Amino acid sequence: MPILQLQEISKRYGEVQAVVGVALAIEKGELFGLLGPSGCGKTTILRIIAGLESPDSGSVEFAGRVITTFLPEHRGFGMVFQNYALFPHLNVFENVAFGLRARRSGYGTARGNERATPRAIKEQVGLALELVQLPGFDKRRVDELSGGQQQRVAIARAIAIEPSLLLFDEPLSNLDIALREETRRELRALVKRLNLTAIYVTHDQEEAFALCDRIAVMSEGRILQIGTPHELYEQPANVAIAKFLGRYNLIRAMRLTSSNDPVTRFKTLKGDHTLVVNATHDQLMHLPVNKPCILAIRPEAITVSKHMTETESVANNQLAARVEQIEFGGATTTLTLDSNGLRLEALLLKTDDLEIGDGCFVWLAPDRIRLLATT
Amino acid sequence: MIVALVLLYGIIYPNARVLVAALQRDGQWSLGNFVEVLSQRTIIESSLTSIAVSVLTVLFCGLVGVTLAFLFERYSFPGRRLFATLAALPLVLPPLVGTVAFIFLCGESGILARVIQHAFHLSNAPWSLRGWGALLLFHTYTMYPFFYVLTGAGLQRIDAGLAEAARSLGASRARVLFRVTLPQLTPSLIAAALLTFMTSMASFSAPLLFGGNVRVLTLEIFSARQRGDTSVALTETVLLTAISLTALVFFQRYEGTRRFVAAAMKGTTRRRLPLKSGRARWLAAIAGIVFSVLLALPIATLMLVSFSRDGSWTTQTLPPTYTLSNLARLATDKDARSVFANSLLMASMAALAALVWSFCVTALTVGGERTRWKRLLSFLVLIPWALPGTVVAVSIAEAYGQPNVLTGSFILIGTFWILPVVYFLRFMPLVVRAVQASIEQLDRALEEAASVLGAGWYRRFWRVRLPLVSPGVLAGTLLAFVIALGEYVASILVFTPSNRPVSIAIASAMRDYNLGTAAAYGVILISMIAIAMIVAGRLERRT
Repeated sequence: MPILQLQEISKRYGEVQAVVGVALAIEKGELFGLLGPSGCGKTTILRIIAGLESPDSGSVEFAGRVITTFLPEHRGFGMVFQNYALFPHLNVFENVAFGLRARRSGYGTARGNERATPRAIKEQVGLALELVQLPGFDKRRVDELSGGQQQRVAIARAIAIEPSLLLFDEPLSNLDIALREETRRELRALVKRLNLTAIYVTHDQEEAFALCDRIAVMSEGRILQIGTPHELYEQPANVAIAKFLGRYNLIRAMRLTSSNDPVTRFKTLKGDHTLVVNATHDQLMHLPVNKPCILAIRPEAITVSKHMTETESVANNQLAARVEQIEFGGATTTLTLDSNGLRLEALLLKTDDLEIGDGCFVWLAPDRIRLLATT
Repeated sequence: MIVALVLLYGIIYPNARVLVAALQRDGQWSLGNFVEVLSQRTIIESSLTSIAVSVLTVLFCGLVGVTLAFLFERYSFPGRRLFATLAALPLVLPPLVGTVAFIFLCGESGILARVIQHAFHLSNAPWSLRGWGALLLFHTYTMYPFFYVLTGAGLQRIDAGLAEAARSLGASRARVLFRVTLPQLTPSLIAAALLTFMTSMASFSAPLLFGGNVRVLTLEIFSARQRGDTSVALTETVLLTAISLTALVFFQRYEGTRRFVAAAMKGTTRRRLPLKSGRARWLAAIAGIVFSVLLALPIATLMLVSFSRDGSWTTQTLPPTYTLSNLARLATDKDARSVFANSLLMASMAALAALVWSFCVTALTVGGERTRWKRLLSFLVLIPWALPGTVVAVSIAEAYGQPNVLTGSFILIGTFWILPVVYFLRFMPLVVRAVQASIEQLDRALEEAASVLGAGWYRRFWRVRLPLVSPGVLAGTLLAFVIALGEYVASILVFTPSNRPVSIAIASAMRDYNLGTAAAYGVILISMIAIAMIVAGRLERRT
């Protein structure tokens, strides 16, 4: 039984349809990601869950209760804002204690009933600050803190109230890269340690992959695909997702054989190569012969060598090519290759002493080639 | 609900009433009043005079204010900060007090005139402080800060990178000034021109005391009311309103076409050029000193005169005898004390009411989507700001001078409450704008965060919104308070013995030739204003 369920949520702002018929089910203890380019509706969904926006249609259900019309202050969730939204007129302690105090005087929801004494508040705040590794920062002014520290205060403020659901709205986007990678590791550890259910909104695919248990990829107000990071990377549902999630070589091709045998031959439109692809029965059912489709292969799945390999295992899909461009990226090197008019990118750990203009052979492993729907 | 009632009673009804009254004659609808008024040459002339005075005022103020703004924003030299602050000073000088000080200083029997008369042994005063020259001089002195302050702010906002880019493209300094800098300043310049124009149209004390034969519309309205010629007064009021509103619409339309959005994400901040050469530094410093003396002279004169014995200063250059009795009398005399108490009380009532009212209005106008209703509401609220004080007072007096449907048998005019009400109506737009600006600058995420953390609207308002907007809001409220404290234009039309404010006391002391007393009133008023402004400055710096 999922703890949070969204059903057919839609929201429009004037002429803009921000969210269209979104359905989600999130399990207790899960760290769930909403991933998509800016303006795709992911933040709107988060705000609808928090109660800061109300959906035009659809329902939000939490722990078996429909909370669609609940005010945000009655939901008992925690939220970390993109710009942190720390209260500038309060110090660190008062910021973290704000939610605890509000709840004490507040309504009968969440953990509001147990009266929080000043001592209990002090204890809770201390604990929260310790969890984000800012012990002893109580009396500091918020604007004296660095971006990273402010970020931690914002997280402490959200977890201090022991939220039943924690919402993150791109909380790391204002930090520099090094700090961002460090913080996201700590964040995941923290959420898992406190056994919190969390929803994390981001436009950064790497961040989502590193942080989340499951991710919903969004575009133009719709959810395109939901899956674990591994599933999304290896089995993107369509071209749009493939393009969004890392680099892909997209090859336009036509199916040659009509049998629904999982090992199928395709002819590339550029370069006129014949490629063998492992496709599922299901995919082939919907793909007529001689109709263009798209084959996708990750740059790191392409093998490049100076000489033709004669072993039987690579008999298929071995193409002659020429090195067009070499882009040195430190640990890896990206080669741009031209194989009789078909452009391919290959990501290599070692370049085999290849230089621009050299001839070489590339091998596209049949089981790494994906057959993608075009929409 | 409250907002709607106040709007109806305070703005819509009085103004509509004035319009109706102007359009009616002996209970009949007619344009007769307009025909009559417009056929009188004096009225046409006074309208044209009002407009001409205002246009010239805008030109002179622009010249002085923009030059000063460039000087202080672009160059650094010894004493720059002090002079930059001083230059905004006339902004808070009550017009009536400024007028009085000007008369003492430059009037035909004022200090400057006497100095020259004695120096050159002239039998008569070298000039008379009457007519166009005097009026424009005074207007420029009191209104150039609009241009100075707004242009200064505009210059600070301009991305210096743009000027640098233009220079690197080969444009000369002059070309950069006219093709890059000034066009970007247009919104500031237009806003300043609008403020100056409106203030000048509404100007009353200066034309009254030394306008001489320059008859402007505000004066005509005043004298028509004095004569008891209500229908003419009302018709003229409508005329003045129409001119003011036309100017407002004209300027705002023009402003709309000239708004620039900075294309660059990250600007270069401009550094002030230090004046390096010795001569330039000296020149700037001397100019600064001369300038600040010029600015301070009227106030210094006022202080000097406040120590003079009433009736003792006749033909001497400076008042011959000095005494503390004026100030002492004002501090002890029951009548004088009640005048200050009246002004303080009425100004605080108006300012506080405006404060509460502003939160009511902004609760309706800020946040959410922009709807037509919200725009209409914002517009209605700002109307009194666009209307000359004379108009506000006349319309309220007309609307609540006799029993009617809206008020039952209650008559506002002749009671103590009329002035607080008029002050409130005149100056609440200032507070509304301050509150609105503060709330709009407030990050919405803060209140959302409070809400998600479990705070209801009551707690959000007291613990988040109020503490965060209070500095800006208090500064705006204090400004309204300060201006209400020295208000004269509307007061003189509707005051009663029970609510005589300071400005009226000054005016009557002047009429009785009790110069020392008048000056003493002025000095105390300025001190109060200074204290309020210092407090406001402190508050603003805290943000």
